[in-house]
Amino acid sequence: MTPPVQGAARPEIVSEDIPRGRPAWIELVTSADHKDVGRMYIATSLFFAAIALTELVMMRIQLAVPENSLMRPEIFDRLLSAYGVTALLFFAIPLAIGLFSYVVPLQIGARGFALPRLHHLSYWLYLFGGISVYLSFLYRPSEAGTIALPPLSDDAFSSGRAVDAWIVGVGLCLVGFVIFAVALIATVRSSRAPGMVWRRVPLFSWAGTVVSYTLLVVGSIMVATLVMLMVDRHFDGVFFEPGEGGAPLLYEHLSSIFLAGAYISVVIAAFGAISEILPTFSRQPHFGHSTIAASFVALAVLAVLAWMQNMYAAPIPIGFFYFAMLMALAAAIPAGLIIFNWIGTISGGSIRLRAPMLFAIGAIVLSVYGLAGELAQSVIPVAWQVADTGVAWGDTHAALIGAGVLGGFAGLHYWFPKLNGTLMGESLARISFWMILGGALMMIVPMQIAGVEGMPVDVSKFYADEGLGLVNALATLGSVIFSIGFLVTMANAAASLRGGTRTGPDPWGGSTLEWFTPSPPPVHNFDLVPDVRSGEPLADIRDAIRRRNVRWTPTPAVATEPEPEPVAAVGEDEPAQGETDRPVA
Amino acid sequence: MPLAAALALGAFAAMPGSAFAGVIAPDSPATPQADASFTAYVIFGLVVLVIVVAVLAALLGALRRGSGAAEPDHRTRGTAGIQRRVGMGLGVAVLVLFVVAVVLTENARDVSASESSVEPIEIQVDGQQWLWRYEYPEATDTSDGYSAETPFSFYELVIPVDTPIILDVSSVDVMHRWWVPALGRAVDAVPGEDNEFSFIAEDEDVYEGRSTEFSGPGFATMRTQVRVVSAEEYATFLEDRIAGIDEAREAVSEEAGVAEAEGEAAATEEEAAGAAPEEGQGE
Repeated sequence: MTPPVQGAARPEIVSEDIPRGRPAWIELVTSADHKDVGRMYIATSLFFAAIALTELVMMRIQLAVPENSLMRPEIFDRLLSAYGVTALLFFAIPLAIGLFSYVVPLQIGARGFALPRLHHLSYWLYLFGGISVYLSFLYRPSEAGTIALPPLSDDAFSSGRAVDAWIVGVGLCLVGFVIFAVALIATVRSSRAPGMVWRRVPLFSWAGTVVSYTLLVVGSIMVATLVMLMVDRHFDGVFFEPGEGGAPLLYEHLSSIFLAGAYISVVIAAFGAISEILPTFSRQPHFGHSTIAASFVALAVLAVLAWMQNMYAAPIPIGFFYFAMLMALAAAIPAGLIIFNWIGTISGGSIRLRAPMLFAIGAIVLSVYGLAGELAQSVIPVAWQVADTGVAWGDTHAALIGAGVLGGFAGLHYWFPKLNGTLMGESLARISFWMILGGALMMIVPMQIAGVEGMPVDVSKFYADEGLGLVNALATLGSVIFSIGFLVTMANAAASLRGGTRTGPDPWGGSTLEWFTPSPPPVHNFDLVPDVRSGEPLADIRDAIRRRNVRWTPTPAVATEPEPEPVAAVGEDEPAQGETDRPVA
Repeated sequence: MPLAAALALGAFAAMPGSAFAGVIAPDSPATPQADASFTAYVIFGLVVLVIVVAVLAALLGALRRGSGAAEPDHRTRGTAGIQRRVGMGLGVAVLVLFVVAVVLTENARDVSASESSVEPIEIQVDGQQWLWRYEYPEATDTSDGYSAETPFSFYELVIPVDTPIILDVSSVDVMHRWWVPALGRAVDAVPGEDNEFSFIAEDEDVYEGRSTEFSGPGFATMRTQVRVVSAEEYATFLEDRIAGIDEAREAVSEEAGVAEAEGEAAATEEEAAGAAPEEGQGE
């Protein structure tokens, strides 16, 4: 009898004792993957945007008619105090951070953030910061204004827990931003693809890096300022106490530094997104990649150094104001160079006015309108006439709506296919665009006319004898149209999450590495990261494929000698992983 | 081209701001300082207009040129030379604007002592939630410049025409901002600090102003008025104020005396009333 032969061990699949997968939402909120954190940032920022829009419309309704008694001044001040931080800190900057979180590692060929847990922590700090501010609405929110300037925010004039909640909320949020900045800087410095030297880093990643350095500096300063304010309020501190050795002006300086940095961060983030969109939709390379990158750096430095341009009425020696004015005017040089290079990029190109391009063009128009106005306001005697009036409000809102909303939405429409694998609806995008642009202008221009007539910002009412009824009514109508346009984009994004047109890895024919990987990308981003040999690695790959295909064209039948084996040209890339799956533009 | 732009700017700078009043500028300026501010306002308003129109035109031109183009495969890039020339052009423009801005700022700043032979009048301006208090120097000068009967007014500031006025602006509670557009610059009222602003009003008139620094629930109501009068009217105003203050003080003293007397009488009655039940209880 032949003994049984012992066969080789066969692989087995064991299905017992394997824990079931956790629900998708738990996976999402506990994930430190940069793409999940980025999606959470974007979704949360849009949620807070809806709150900010509600506050804006409510305030505008109060100002729709003269001497309106619809809302008590205290209620108006609570909305005002929450609106400022919500629009800037809980919407505009987080939307930019969300896009940076998702896109920058993909653009630089990294497999993730260098400090993923810190990155994850930054989101939760931001979220709890926002929640802290809004939980105070359950008892009594802050009435101390947009930036809680002492002595108004001191215990003597704002007792109770209202301002405390504001300080804690804003402080937590800013700590989150600072941590994000550290994580992004570490990522960009340490995780770039082989060959991606700084001059080849895509401009959106450049913008992310510049914004991160800016937030690292100004965010830290503001956190320290808020700690000092808390010490003043509860621990007998005298940092900002007049008459006890402290100075309210110190808070104004520090908060102005922060506001200048936060403001320019939103602008640079939008400029980064626009700088990616224009070449893609005009099928042209950048006219001056290095110039734009250097201009981002110069813009951030000069704008922060010009922080005193918002303090020209304060008791400060005039020499400091001249310095601030020079810095602010000098910021026009990098801003002008960026615009010049954008125009050079699209000039002569094959323009496709798809939704991202449309939003980008709108963002340029509105941002330029606002920034040119800010340039005029940096001139001392002009600021003496228009500071904190409707003129200044209009310029600031034009720049921030242009950059934060239109620029942010340009980026959202552009990278949405990468985030979700589907396109956002084009028709709804166009409706939303025109409503946002038209509504914003209808809100801003009448407010500027009111400002010329001397109407200040932040007032809860205006008088009938000022003759400003019509312009305020128009501004209110504009705010409603603007808000509806904004909500259309949110609805479009929500509908496109499941019902959008499915797309491949590179629906636009982009030139940067995020379009090299599937949409949405796998957890590890890339199976193989290609060597980078220019600022447009995907364009290089397309060129290589095109050259190879030309070389492989079958020879005519009349050939008498066999075709020699193709030899890779010097400097040509090896065929990249998955390249045959990619559409070739 | 930069030279032509500089000349055009210079020509505008030489024009009085009042030439543009009512067109795109706010109230008619009533002081040389406000006039310079309005001139700056107009010049840089035009600069903004030029920038916006130029960028829009360039953008639309580029879009129009590009929209019908075939698929371009060339890789034109801005050379370093082009970038340098554009950067230098922008730098020159910024320098010109800066020089113009400095000149206008110097014109819009406080008046110097040499600008008038008339003795300046120094007025203390205190912001408080949500009104302005003006404290005038007494007509008969004392050693410290003020006396126990210093005249003051709320809401309305009265000043003489063609006289240098020095405002020492401060606050007794939170931050405020004193701003009367027709008279010149805005001035922050910061607690614990004096912020000085001087000007000469050239026309007798009434000028409206308001605070533009957020200061709490009553902020929208924090308005003020400046009445520029002749020197004689100003002297009469001060005398009336002092007389009014004296009358008010006397009235207060009388009321206090009456109240004191009534209080004493009431206390005596209470004592008497308190003693009566005791007597009753004793019965």
